[in-house]
Amino acid sequence: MLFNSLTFLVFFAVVLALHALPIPWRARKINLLVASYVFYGAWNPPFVVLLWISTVLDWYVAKGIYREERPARRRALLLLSIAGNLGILGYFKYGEFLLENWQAAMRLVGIEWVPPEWSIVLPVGISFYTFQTMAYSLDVYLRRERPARSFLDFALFVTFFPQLVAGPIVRPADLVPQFAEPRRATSRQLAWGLGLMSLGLFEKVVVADTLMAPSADEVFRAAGPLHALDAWIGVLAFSGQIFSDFAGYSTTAIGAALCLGFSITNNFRYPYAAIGFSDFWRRWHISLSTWLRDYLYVPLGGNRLGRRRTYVNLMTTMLLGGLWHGASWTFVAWGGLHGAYLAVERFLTERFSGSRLSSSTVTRLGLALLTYILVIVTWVFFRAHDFPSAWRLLGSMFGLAGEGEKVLYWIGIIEVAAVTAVMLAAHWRMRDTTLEAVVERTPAWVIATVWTLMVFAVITTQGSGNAFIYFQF
Amino acid sequence: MPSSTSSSERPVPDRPWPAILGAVVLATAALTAAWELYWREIGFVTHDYVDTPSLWATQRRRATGDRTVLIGSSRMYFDVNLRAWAEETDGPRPIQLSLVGTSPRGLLTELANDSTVRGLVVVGVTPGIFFRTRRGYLGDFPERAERESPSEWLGQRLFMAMERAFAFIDWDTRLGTILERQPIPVREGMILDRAVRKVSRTRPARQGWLEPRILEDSVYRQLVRDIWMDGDDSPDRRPSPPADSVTALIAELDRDIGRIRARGGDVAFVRFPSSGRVLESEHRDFPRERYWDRLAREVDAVAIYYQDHPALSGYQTPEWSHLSRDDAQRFTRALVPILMDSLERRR
Repeated sequence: MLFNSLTFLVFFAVVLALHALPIPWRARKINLLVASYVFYGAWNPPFVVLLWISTVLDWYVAKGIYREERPARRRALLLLSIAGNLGILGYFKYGEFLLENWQAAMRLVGIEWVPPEWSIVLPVGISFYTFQTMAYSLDVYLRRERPARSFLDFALFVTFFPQLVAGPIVRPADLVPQFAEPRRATSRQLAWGLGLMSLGLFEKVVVADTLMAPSADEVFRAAGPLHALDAWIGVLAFSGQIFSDFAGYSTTAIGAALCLGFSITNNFRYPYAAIGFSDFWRRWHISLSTWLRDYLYVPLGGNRLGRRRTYVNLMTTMLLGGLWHGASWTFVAWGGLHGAYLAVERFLTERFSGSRLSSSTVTRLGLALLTYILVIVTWVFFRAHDFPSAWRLLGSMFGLAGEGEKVLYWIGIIEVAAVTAVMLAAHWRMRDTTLEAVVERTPAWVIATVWTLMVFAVITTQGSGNAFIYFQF
Repeated sequence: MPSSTSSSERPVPDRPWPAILGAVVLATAALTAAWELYWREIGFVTHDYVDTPSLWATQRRRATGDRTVLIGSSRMYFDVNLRAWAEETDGPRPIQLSLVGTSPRGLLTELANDSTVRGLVVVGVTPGIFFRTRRGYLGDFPERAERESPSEWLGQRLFMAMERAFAFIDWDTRLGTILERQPIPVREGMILDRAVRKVSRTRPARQGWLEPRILEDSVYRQLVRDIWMDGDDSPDRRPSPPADSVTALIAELDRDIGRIRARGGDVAFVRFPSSGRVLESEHRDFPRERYWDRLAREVDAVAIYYQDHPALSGYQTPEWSHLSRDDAQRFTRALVPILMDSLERRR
């Protein structure tokens, strides 16, 4: 079910009430587990089976790896986990993509082959929970962690509803130990958790869906060249939409977990104030970028195998990171561009680090602006349906497409420009601090006023009911 | 474990949270109450339901057996009174599956392919929508209804409970709609493509009727009329569909009618009243002899054009396209006997 739905409001109220009951901790954990299955099954009940498969597979595989001393057997067990999880992911998410590419490859060698029709529904959040369970087996294999002691705790780790379908991708060591001891939110945690949920829903429902999505949709569905202003506003709108949508989900998830007494780490840290791309990836979808770093980049050799190999590892990680987002070459291109930016940044940093110029405020602002512009231009590949659409839009943005059609009214342009300006200012202001630190210094009446206005704005949108963008990944 | 994901308790800012939360609850309640009063003052009412895929799905699930099913666009939706229909036929109320601004052709095919549908299907024909191939405004409703999740099913029930309590729940009162309708000049070179204003009210069984404000408020009525005619005099307006598209349509309809009839059901077509510039535009773009008359002549089904029956003529369409609520009731009582008689004679 969607966070931005009445169904979730009722569901969450029931879960909070059950969690507050004076019953044994084990019974409360079972409540949470059942609630998580209900949360997931509310989309498509049969897909709960996939969660069970992933849970049971990694529970037994990790135990086997932990007990096993023979390297070959340990490796075989790990491969079983990876094959199981990536197999599920591959079948549901990449099956059609693979068939289409196979068809194209066959055509290149003169063989006309028509693939069978592929009409598989993508289970919501499959990329998130398969990565989360794989991390568990990988941690045990790499001897970073012991297996969980309780199957219930492990099942809850895989299924915990606040972050089940769109992250943050939580590590076993961060969450499993929290299930060991009885937890119940304090009144302060409950209030702050509700505050975070309000902020997250405001970002999603008001900023992403109401203010940014209409202009982004209008521009990205255009079939011909656009006026440069429309093209730029559309891309800015999508930049704001995807951040508000995804960070909104993460903030709501963190708030929901906190209301139940659990702590989940931040997934975003004001990414549009990033200075450079390594900084960007320390601020954007942190749980995925650290996952890719720890389970892909580092095992590939990271930066330990020489300069050339470092660049290869970097690019491989980012290409696969792009592919993780969706079964399309446009996502791969998006990842590849970010890989290229990181590589160039690495190259330049090795040569120019330590210069006085690089630490001046003007340079930092300039670099932040350059980073932001490259990030938003690169979003074109992320959002466009195909390469021709992406090239067409880029052509419109950079004046290569002639006059182009105007598709946005002033009101849309004003909304996007205003939200973008406020968002950039807020990210820059918050760059080196945290929300908690700022709130702690803010007068109570200001907090109450801002919180009220956010909730009221959410109410006036009447809940658009749009799914979160990252559900599809 | 990797340092970047190290576990720690989330900090909670040191503020007087119980007082803040209490203030937020009270202030939000006060603002929402004021918002509600504001919209009630303007004329919005409770028990008026937003048409959603889930609301449509509740009726689609009932469209089985020999129940009469109504499909069409807004005219079939607003101009038929379900209770009057039931009283005239001495049977149950028909199932209303019409979708505003949407062609019923795809839905007719879907019903034809559904072996559980064995009753009469009445198709409303609005020329500008029916004779074009585009699905239209709410064309994705049937697919979305088919994919309805348990969460959406429950959400619809909760949403309807809110609609029973709050008048401000309406498409026209959403923040996004309000922003979109701000009177800001149009950019040079663009034409204002105004969204349709609130033109109807809806009950849970999808009984729709024309928004009373259109009858009472001449400025609002003129606004609705103007929006219907937006782009009508533009040289870029869509051309009329070619003659061969009608030939293809007739083949498509015959196929669907044959399937429904093979199960004991039947299909009939009805052209509802329109007037003023809307009617002029329809006559210009869809001349009766080239479109409706061919349909009536070549399709093997009953086809009723309101102007052919004195009992169906003379009704007022205040904004040129739909009947008022009272006229819809009278029109339905006049239409049903004509329709039943035609079906009987055809058999």
